[in-house]
Amino acid sequence: MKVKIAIHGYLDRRFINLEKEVKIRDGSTAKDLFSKISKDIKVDVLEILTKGAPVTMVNTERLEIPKDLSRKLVDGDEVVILQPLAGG
Amino acid sequence: MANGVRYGYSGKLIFVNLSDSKISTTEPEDEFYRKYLGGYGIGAKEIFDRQPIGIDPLGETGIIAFLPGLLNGSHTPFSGRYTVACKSPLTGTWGDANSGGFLGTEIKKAGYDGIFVQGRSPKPVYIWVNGSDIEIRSAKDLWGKDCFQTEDLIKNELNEMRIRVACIGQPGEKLSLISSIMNDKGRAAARSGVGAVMGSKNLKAIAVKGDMKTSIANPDEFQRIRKELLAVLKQKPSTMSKIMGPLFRPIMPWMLKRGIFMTPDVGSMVEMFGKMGTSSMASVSAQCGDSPIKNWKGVGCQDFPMRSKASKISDDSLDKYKVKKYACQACPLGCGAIMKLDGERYSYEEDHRPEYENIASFGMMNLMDDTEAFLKCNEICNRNGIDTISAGASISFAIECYENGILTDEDTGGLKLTWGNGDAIVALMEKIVCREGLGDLLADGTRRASEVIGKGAAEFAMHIGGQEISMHDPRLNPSFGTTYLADPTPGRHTAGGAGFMEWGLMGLPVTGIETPKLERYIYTGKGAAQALASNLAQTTNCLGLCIFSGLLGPMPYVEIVNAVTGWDYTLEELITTGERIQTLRQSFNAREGMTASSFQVPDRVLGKPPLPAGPTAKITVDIETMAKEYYEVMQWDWDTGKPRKSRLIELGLREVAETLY
Repeated sequence: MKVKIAIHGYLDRRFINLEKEVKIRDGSTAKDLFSKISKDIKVDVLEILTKGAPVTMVNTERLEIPKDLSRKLVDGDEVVILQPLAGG
Repeated sequence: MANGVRYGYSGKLIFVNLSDSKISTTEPEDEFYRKYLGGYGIGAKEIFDRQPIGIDPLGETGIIAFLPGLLNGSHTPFSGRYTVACKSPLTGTWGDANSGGFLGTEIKKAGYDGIFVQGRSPKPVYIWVNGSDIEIRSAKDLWGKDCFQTEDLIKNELNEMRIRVACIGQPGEKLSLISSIMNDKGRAAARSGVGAVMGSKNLKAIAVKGDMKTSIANPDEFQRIRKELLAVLKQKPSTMSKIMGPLFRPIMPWMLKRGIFMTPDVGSMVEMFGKMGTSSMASVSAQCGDSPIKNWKGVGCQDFPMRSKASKISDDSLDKYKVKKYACQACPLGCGAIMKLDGERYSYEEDHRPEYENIASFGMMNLMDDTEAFLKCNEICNRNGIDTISAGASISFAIECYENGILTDEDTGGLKLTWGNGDAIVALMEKIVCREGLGDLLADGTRRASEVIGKGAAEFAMHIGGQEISMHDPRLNPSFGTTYLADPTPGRHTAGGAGFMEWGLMGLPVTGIETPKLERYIYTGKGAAQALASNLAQTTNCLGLCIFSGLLGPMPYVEIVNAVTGWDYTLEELITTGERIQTLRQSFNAREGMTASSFQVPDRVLGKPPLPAGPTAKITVDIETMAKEYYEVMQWDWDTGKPRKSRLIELGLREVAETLY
């Protein structure tokens, strides 16, 4: 199946702007997706999620990390990780 | 102080009484500065001692003070902030407002640590501080002018082009309770209704010129620390970022679509923030639930999505209007910018770039993705002296009233106040400046407007104690709610608190203090973190440091203070000083009869009922548990608002204890 992932923000002291479609196996979880994308982009997304507190959503529904890492994804899901820089 | 030389501070305060034109100065002892630092620390001490209880903030006996931070003028990186302090006419509480630019340092260069103004002039005046010469001058020809004009006219009249000016526009003159004080043509001391206090005194402006240098107690040590701080900032972006960044920037949208990934380093972060300022990633704030949407009832990713709407008033969409960079005094980062708008419907020659708060209050709150109209609203506020947070929130309130039939076309003067209608919003802003029609009501903020309008309008007035709430949603980071409710200046985000910790965004600002990691939606056990963060925020503000210094990690506050002043401060004394200042601000409110129950966070802001969708869906914030814990740690009584007598004495506030008990 195909899912979309978007990461925008200042995470682990680096800017990340990423939007891409990823092929994963049917029945994959959010954690599976993060592991796969981490290998592709050479950044440990799981570590970023557990060290910081970015907002993580599946189709605009927030995931609680680490509890919801086991959330099963379905074809067409969009997973988003967001961390603004500063506010003001 | 050693051998009569005062290090760090100037050692002199100005007192001007506009009722009898009497001008005097005092020279506080070294201990005074050590206890209260500068900024609103010394402001709170002086105003608490000198201002009677229960006064009308817009009356003759009210005091307003212009207060540089202790480190203003020392060339400590990020030390360009000053504060205005008074009793707030908007909330009836302690009031203060913080601004950047160059004014604070100029007051120090003139030889002063504060300018306190009391009384009321029978005619419009401005105060001219030219070193030791202090003069009250007629502002007859300035009254009615906007802030940009006023600054130019004063410089021309005095034939002094390099002076610094803080002034009010028409809203301040007309006692708008959401009016601000502007300095350096676009830097705003905006909150607490401080502009109206100046207006009530017929005080149009203060103009300052000085040429004194701040004495540093240990210059070698200070230079060592300063160089270390600047070295962090001067880290270059990686070679890859440096070469590829400028090439990629124009094609960023294309890159995003294709999933091309960039990993800039700290140097690139400095470059990015220096380039975009707080507009950087504002659209991400809309999407992730940080920004309140549609008068706090909307969902960003549905009502004002990052890609299709919020991006139009964020990042590159604004950067293209930039003419040049702007940095406040002693700021090596320079997150500001000067913009020029030459649009089809709106234009202006010069304005400061909108900050995140302005983007959220006008854009996200009103669903306004009309870039030109948004920029014009920002310019109207800066040119005339209006708090952008309160103005944007007041317009959201009006739109919701209109949507619900509480306001009609007749009430709005024919304006179609619908969500996102940029032209109507600009037109309403102009009415607020002139206090015309509906604008006259909104010029005093949502609480008073809702009281006059009636018909259930109060349900849509999103304020705490009269202050429109800052643009960080407690449903995403609940401790912002604690700060909004429990700080002596309600509804504010710069007062410090644990919200930034929940976000994992900025840690505590001081070297040697570990930032606790807090779980967002666990409401117990946060009181100590909230207290520590708010106490340290008092030191940041009173030293005159910018909160964005924290983006680069903690700063060695203690070492800096000691090198500049020659004191032997410890980390413990620094934290205690922060607590002393915070407790003094709270004592001001308690003496005015304010208790915790004087303030209410609107249900909607707390998720009552919870939002049905989006990243903060189903969240209801337990504000009472968090705020009560904070009060308990600070040793403030929940029912009376009074700090505990024994703690007041321990903090060296015996005279305050004697007043309260």
